[in-house]
Amino acid sequence: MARLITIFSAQKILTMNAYQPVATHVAVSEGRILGVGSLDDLAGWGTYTLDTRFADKTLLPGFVEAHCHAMNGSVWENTYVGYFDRTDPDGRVWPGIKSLDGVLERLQEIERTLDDPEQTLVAWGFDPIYFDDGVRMTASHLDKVSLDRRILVQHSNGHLLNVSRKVLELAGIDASTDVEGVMKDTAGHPTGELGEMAAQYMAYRVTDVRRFDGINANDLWAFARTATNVGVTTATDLHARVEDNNVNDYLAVTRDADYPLRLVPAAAGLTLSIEEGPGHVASLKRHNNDKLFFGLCKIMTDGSIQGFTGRLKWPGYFNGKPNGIWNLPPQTLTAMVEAYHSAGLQMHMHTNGDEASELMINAIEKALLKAPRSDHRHTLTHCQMADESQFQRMAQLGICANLFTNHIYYWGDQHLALTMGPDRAMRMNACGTAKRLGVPFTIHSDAPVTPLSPLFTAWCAVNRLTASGRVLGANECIDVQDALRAVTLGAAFTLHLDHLVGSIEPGKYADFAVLDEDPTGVSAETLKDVSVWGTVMGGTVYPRAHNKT
Amino acid sequence: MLTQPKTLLPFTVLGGFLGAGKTTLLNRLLTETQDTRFAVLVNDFGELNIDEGLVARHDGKTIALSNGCMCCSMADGFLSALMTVMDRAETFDHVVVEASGVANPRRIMDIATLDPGLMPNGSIVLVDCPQFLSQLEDPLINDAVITQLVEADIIVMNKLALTDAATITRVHRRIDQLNPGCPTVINDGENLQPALLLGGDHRLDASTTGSTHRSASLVPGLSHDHGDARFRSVVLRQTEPINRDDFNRWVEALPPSIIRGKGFIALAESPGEAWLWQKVGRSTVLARYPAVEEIALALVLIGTSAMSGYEDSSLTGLFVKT
Repeated sequence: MARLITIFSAQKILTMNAYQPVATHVAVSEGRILGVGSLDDLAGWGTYTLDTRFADKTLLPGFVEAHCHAMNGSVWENTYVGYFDRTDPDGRVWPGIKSLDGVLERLQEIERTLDDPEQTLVAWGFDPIYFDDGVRMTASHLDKVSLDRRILVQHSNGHLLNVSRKVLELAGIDASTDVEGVMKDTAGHPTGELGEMAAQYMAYRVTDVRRFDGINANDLWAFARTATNVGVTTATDLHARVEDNNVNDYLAVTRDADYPLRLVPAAAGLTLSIEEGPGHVASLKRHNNDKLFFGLCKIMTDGSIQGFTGRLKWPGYFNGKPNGIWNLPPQTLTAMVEAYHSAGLQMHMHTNGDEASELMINAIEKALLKAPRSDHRHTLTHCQMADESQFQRMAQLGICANLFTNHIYYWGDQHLALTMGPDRAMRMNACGTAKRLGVPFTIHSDAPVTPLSPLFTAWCAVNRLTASGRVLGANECIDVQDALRAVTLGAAFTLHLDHLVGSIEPGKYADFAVLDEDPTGVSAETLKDVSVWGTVMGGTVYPRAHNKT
Repeated sequence: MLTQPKTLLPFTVLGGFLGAGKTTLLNRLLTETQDTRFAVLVNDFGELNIDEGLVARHDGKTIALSNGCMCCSMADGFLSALMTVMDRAETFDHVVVEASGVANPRRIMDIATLDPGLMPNGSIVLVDCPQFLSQLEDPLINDAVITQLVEADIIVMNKLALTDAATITRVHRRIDQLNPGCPTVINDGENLQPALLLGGDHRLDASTTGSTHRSASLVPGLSHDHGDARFRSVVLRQTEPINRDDFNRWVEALPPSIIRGKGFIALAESPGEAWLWQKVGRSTVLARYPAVEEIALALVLIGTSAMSGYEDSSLTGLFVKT
């Protein structure tokens, strides 16, 4: 029986395939790439249907995001109040809000739409550090939104929370409360800003906000929509609960023929015992299908650099703050690495500070001595402060890097002034060094921490511009081709999926990012502005939300 | 406000670095427990040594025991586990949190300070004596180890049998430098009663404390002047209301050998009311207690075998040692 063949024509196809970097046509059959080249080159495969809808578009391999979270869909159940523009799963752009008054106006708009007085109004992404006047939100500000409603405003750093007077009252937090994390004004009254676990525990306890118990099918559908909008066809859920109910939902969505995303859930090592975790994660592989790839494990080591909880080597934080925290004792983290490595599994390790990177490099070295294994591709993710000596050891040990280049834009100015100082800030997320020393690398958004958008992430790696417009470490800039490779084949390599996705070549899945312009044909400064039309995933065309008719 | 609960659930944090012996202590607590329904929050079930015959129900995140205790895994995070416990708070007598080996116990105890249903019952920090001095020299962990000690209400020197007397002396000296005056219990390997260490397992209940016989069971299993080799307790019964300043002076002067205290007193300023007094390590709380009839006005003090100093002459007329 003759194959059903579709040939897509494009203005340009950037394949990321070394022996044929550029083409104009790609033939697709059974969801896979049959051939790449000119129409003449492909005609020999037999009868085909020519699809010319992308004749004026540029095709790239579908983008692969190796560090994001499926929560990137579910955060949109709440109101966005961040400083930067952000696009929701339906393609609506929520403009960034540049002042506290603006935030209150948006909350007032939402307040007017709420019928049930008992419903808690939850907002996310709030980030007053960008406001010029350094103003902080208080419960009095939220009085202007409602005197009676329970309101929670989550800060983008994940550590702070602003609550309304009603929440303070219900939680019994008042002038007599003497607990760390309850901010007070000069008169000794709580301002409504809550840091630390205890105060936030009380705030959540008196509201009806959903308790996080892992991802569900709705979240995964919303997540896929956010991915399609930015050209992503393969994405991790890089700290996944893997209880039966979560596993069933991953299975249900990926078995749906219309689901437009390949999912790589990385089991959260923190939620599993060292004794049982490796066996459980290995056994999950039996569920894998062409859109679901279990088997990866996430190890959490330290906190965040901008939150001063990342673990730093000497000389520590530039502003003199004490060193950060470990999520588990270093000995336990080392034991986890050995357990998952010995079980033949791959790990992505969250390491922000250089002390954390070093702990994991040491742990992998130790595990490799006990259980030698080639091509493990364990990956340090974030790996923001690794210096040349650490990249050298990573190269020697076969460790990959997933660098957080979006940080340069969003927090680069803070790193320069507060966390790292000018010299160490310049070496953060050192793509240039990784490339020079031969460390396989990719770059990431950590969405929803920063927006999911591989072209933006690539732009950061190329230009290294901070939000204030300063170039942070020009010597670590990489060129556009390298950055595009990092968000396609580079990411696929760190997920052990480069035999299936990441480039446009025969045999791989027919996954494409469809762009309105050629990203190599625009100036590097405008790479982030190249618009995404949508994706092709497994040969099926998925327009982004605003392109749907 | 949250509805003021009828009862206050004691909340104890067990801290200490990896290997200090937290799980061993918890295992004893769960197997030796008689009348107390402990809710125990643990990092994982892996090292818990629970008699299978005791398991009534196991649903992945919680293990319910037939003696009324429950173990709850913090795999989904501490807050998620705590909310699971608080959803059925009335079925427990005591919450014990096994802090992670790097956690600051104070930040966990803050929850009990805030939550009106909980009563802070002390952060107990275990010290791994054979490892302690090298832990203080390890730049990866010494900040966490020091913070735990500084924030402790009660310190337990553990695993003494695994080291020598000179080391123990040095460990003791370093502990005293880090947290001077903090009650320090030496676990010399004999049968340290976990329930004694955690103070009473008694849930203060306004509806039952009316019994004049109740005071003796503030620490169940303990009668007055009784204890094992390392612990003693005394019950001081009040004969007439006390002047608040005199009482505060007496509390201030209690020596570190007295680890815990708990009970009800009447103050001269409001003789008809009962006040709940509690001492954990050096922290003390005195709070007005909802009026109940016939409340027993007495205090229990628990201390090491060397405890003394509670019979201040200015109070001898007010307290009668029973």
